[in-house]
Amino acid sequence: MTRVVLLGASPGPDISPTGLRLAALSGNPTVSERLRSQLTSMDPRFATIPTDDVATALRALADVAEQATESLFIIPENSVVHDELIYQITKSKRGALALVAKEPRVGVTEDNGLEENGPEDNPVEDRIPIDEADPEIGMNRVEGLPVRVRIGKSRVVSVGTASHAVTRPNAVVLGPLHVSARNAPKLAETCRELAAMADRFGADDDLVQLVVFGLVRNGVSVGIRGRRDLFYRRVTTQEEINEAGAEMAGMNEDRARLNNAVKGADGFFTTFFVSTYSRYIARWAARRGLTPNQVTLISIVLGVAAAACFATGDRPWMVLGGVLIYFAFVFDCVDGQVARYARKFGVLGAWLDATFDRFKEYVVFAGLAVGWVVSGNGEEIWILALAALGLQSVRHLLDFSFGVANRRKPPAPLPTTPLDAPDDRDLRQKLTARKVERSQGVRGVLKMWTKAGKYRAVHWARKMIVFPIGERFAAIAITAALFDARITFITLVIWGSVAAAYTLTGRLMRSLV
Amino acid sequence: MITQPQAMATPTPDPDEERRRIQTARLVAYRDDGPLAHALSSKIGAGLPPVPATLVALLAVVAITVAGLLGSGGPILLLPVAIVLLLVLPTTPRDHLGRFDWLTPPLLRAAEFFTIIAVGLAADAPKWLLFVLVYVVGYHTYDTVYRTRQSIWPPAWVFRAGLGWELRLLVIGVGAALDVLTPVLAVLTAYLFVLFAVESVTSWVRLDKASAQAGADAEQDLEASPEDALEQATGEAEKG
Repeated sequence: MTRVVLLGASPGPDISPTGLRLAALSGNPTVSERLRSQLTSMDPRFATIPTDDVATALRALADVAEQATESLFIIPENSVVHDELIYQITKSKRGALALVAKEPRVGVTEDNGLEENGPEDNPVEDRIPIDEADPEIGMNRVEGLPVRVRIGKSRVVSVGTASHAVTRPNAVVLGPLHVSARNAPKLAETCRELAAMADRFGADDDLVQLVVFGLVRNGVSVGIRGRRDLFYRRVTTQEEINEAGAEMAGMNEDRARLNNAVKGADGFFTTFFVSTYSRYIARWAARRGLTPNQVTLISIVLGVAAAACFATGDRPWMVLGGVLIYFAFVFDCVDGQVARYARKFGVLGAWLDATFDRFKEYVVFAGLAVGWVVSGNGEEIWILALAALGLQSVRHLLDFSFGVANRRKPPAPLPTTPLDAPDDRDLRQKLTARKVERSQGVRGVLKMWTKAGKYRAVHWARKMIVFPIGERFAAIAITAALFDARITFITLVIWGSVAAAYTLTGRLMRSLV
Repeated sequence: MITQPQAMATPTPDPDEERRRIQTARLVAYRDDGPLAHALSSKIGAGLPPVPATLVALLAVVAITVAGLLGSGGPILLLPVAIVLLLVLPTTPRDHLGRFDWLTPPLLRAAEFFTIIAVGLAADAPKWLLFVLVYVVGYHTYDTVYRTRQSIWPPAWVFRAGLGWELRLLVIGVGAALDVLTPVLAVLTAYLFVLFAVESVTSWVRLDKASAQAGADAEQDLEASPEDALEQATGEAEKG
């Protein structure tokens, strides 16, 4: 569950601009009514904090954060937002996550704008390298908010206020902020510190931006995400509300939800030969009321059928088996997508999915070996099948064990800087020092290798070499359909051994640092 | 000179220490030690460092297999089992908090599988039966991982009744040495299959899934690689 905090709401009758109506939506709700109904489903007794006085509001926020036993979701009252966006932000696994918008730049495309702070920064527009740039008080505005936030690739680097300069501000914090339970005490402490210095903030400083300012200076890693294919806007006038309502109604929220149900970070084969269309099967299944577990069952049936086809040892059946094992894998991806799309999660479902993935894979090994023997070949094929089975099981266990190893420390904590420092020079110097410290010796090699991932070829080669599930099922389908069981097992053993050597090298190195 | 004892310091539990304890409990569970290993662990003192001992055991079994020592059959088939037991049983008292100790469960499972296959082939046991046995033992390991990842621990008796790697190997070694490996394998495989299958089904039927769901990370991907999971949580990529 999530503790929801609504900023700007007064406890009395609704007299704010948020009393204006969103005519484009069905039911013609007011901005406030709509947002409140969206939030009630998450937290029936969400907290409301008036924001007329910054210090009082910050103290009230500190009180809520102190009592929170779960994660906190903070959102301004004049927000017009898609349900799905709220859902995605509150399901984040980051310690803190803020919705941000980048300041549009003339002559610079959005893509190369999302960079980590560093010397490679904006060579086109800014002649002075960022390391020599002077911190400034951001005066530009994006959607009515002052541009006083510097964002990097994945988190907020630095934030300023009306009296705190920030180096090269490039974004605004839009409003919604999610803080995990483990950071709630830090949030409370930060809000109290901020409240004590409230006279230094300007009238144009947004409350959430101030909170993020405090969190970042206190060393909390605040992740960022953009709106992507979803809608968020803060509104004050009827004109803005009409615009927002129309624009939001024109966006396809269901499509965004479906896209979000597809897991990122998948392998090459899964990304290009399954994920391109599996979401439509998932939506079809969800709309027909199929549960994720029923989809898992379909996948199991397809997998066993494929094994049975392979067990005949006849070429036409082997080809059919290849096709069936491919679709068994497609439905294996679909069950997770149905779960995420329909938001039906269960411990049993997750266990069944994982356990029967293994079963499908290994029952196909057995099918292939049986097929080889019944078509008149030697029993030695079982030795290859055993090698493939043993290798894959041990490779999985290598993954699992490394995952729980006590040596896996979280990344080094971020530097802190006093809240009353007038600019962020000190913070930037510490960040640079941290970066240098993190790129020495073995760490440097690992970091270079991580950075090489920006080249598409390296990125995908690295995904393929670890022989993920998609590649394994594809390798089985293709080699079994075109060649024979022996070739399949040899492929699995060789590719699997290369993958094991590769991942072991990386992990042994990482265990050294 | 009298030195003051330092033992009075800080009884407060360190959260990092606590995290290590929980993680290491899972790592040790992945080893799948059985009743014999547990009975011995308190009686053999400090024990051997787990990674070198297990690695040497694996390499030794591979070496004697490749050298063809197992070809003649008979009591020599107890040799690989004896090597693994003698080298790996003394590692059970260790805390597995070392830098490379995450290598122990995969190395141990590799040694177990390799020994089962090598002994089974040398004793001319049905190969498909070996395949089923390796799958059933593998299933138990996967099951342990997937359940503990959702903070649902399998009951302790399953690990004992599953005999652990050491008793499974011992049963197979003795069966091979006495030249009765095929019936022994058949009984062992059937027993483990029924045990793990029945336990899984009854556990899931009995489990209060709603409260288990509350304790688990709802959208956790049980099959995610550790690198992907870390990147999701911290935004910092770590690939290699």
